[in-house]
Amino acid sequence: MTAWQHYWLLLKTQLPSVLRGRQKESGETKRSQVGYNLIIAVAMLVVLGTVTIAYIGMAEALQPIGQLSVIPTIAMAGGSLFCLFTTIYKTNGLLFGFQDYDLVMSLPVRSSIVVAVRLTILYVYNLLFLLAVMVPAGVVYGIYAGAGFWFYLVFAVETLLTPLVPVVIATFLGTLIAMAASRFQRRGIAGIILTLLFMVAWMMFVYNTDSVIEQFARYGPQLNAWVASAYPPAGWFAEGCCNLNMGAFALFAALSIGLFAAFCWLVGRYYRAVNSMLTSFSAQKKYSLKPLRSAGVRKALLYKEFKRLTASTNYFLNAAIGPIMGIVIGALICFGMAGSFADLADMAAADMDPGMGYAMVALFMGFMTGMSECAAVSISIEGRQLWIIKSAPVSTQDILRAKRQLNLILSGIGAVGAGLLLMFNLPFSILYSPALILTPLICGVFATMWGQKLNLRFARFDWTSEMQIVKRSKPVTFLMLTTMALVLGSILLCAVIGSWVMFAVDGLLLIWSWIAHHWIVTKGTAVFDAYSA
Amino acid sequence: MGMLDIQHLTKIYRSGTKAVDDLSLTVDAGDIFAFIGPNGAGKTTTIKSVVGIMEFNSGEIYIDGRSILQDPVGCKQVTAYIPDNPDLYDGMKGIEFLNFICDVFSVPSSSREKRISRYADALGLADNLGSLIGSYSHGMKQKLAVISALVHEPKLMILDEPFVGLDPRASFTLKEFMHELTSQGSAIFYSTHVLEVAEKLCDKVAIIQGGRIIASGTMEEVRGNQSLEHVFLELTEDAEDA
Repeated sequence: MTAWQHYWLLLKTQLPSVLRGRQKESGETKRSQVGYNLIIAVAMLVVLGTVTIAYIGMAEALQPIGQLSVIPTIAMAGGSLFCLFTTIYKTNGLLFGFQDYDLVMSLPVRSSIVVAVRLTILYVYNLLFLLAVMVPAGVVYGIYAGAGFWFYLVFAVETLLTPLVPVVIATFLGTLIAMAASRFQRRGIAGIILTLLFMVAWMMFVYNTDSVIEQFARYGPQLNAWVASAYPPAGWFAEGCCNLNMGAFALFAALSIGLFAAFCWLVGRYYRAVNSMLTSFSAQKKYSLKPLRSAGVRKALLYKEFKRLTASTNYFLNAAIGPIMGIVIGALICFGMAGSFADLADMAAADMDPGMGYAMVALFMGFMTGMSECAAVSISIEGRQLWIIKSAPVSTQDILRAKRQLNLILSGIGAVGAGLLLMFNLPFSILYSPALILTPLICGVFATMWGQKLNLRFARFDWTSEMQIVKRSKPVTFLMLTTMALVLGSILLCAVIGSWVMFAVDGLLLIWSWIAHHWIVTKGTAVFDAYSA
Repeated sequence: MGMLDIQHLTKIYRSGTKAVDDLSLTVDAGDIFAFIGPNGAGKTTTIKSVVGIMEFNSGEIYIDGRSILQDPVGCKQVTAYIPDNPDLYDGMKGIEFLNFICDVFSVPSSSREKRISRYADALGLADNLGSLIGSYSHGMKQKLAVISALVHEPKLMILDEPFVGLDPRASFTLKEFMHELTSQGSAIFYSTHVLEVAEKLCDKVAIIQGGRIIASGTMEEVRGNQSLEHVFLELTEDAEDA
């Protein structure tokens, strides 16, 4: 077999199983599957529609000044940045240390082919998202600029090439982080801290931006030039498709493909060594038994949930990133590093609806805490270890309570931390300032109760990769969609109708949470008991 | 009533497969009871029903006089279970996992260090308790699972192929602990494909096939003058032909 044949064989074997977050679950009816797929399709259409409307708004503003090329530039740069951020912590688990590593590496296939296949999987992950961002940008630009066939052809090819560079950069950075973390015994926590430090540093760089806001406000060549200087491929991308500059197109294509191929070759050379480093543990000195602290059953269960969360970078970052980012954003505002959010202080002081600024900020922070998905994941994440708690002398109520407590603690810390930081920076209002803490807290409660109910209804334990549970499972998808629709939708309504929308949404979420909690403590325990380990 | 009393247990999966069909057996205090059968006979389903990690359609299971349906927590309090391939919490250290087990089983703090130390020393895992379970080999995980089962001094121990992955010394030690437990009045219900070990270790045996018990009794009663392997092959072939 040739290298290409090996590549295609491995890819068609591995790609479906990795992407299969939505395989038909045992007992799931066809009707239920179709229903789920329909909901996802509708959600995708809504996202596409929203993105398209945003691009149309940009086009309306940019067309009179002849700077429509900003649209594909921004779409490409923004999409690439998102790919970078979301790929960094996938490296360990997808490229290295994946479950069938031993089996694959024992095959008569070159390491560079194995690496190319895994990187292709990462590429496909990112391409699916990128298409949702890029296709509307291309269509809107094409219509407003009256572009011809060649624009669409070049744009399509360049879009397919776009994820290659961010995947390589993210994989490189993710590998460095994983290698640094592997030096620690608690590599899970070390990986989490290092990844978070990187993300916070990146956010500080991006958001510490009077210059970015000023550039964006001016539009036009300054913004294009700024983006192109920060990320040259974005400039070549725009030149290639908007101006049909074949030199720029060739440069972009050569960089993307060349970098990807070179990275595959380089990683392939050191693949076994790096994988061994990341997956092996250094010898520990002999353990001598120390006095043990005892705890009650409930505390022990909560401790177990916490240990599980912090043992995995993927689980932690996906489940807890919302509350953490909420605190980070609050801190950035507190230390005057987020220029755009300073506008909110002006909105808060505006005469028309003094509460609107507070309401929108509170709801935005609520959206962040509402993204705490521990409760939507923590039952499924038991996976093959489910037998331990199912055979333990603990009641199902206690098991489920511990999982809710973890989510409440995380979202509570995020809500209170971010809320206090915001309260220090916005003018005090007796009516609205408490909302900066209360609304995110309520959103956290909602994410907990609704998330657990969803997880009870749609738990699955036969996963082979954590990503199937923490990113692509039914409970997480439904939770995210509901949170986005209710909370983000409310932000838009606030802007249009008024700040009282925030109070209405708070009330709705509280009632929804109460109903979900009631279901959990009455019917939910029987649902959990019916799952067999 | 024995330490474990299974009465007319039936389990039908959603696919319609009847994995266990009106199964009844009793394990008395002091018994080491072997539970053997071909692949797919219903052993694991029976075990999971006893341990309380799988619901069943009909029948009743009593552990130390308590019903698994009425008092599942009470039943689990006196039961220890070691599955055939124990997946443990890789993110915990060995000692953290044992301490967690001691917490949920309410092992008195005054005795847990002594018990952990005893079993860990005996099984050769004491030096590794400070390491993450994710760094353990399969055999080390098996040893840790055994310690976690013994540390709360169960009245009923359910074992599914417990010797797989254990080195010879650890296997010998586990057998000694099994005898020690039963001499103190506990019972052991033990599923295995290794009939030679079952023959030497166990007092009683039940053979299951197609979800039904096809032979049950003391080891002498079931095997007679033949080896257990011989009897097993004969009986399971007859049951297939029937």
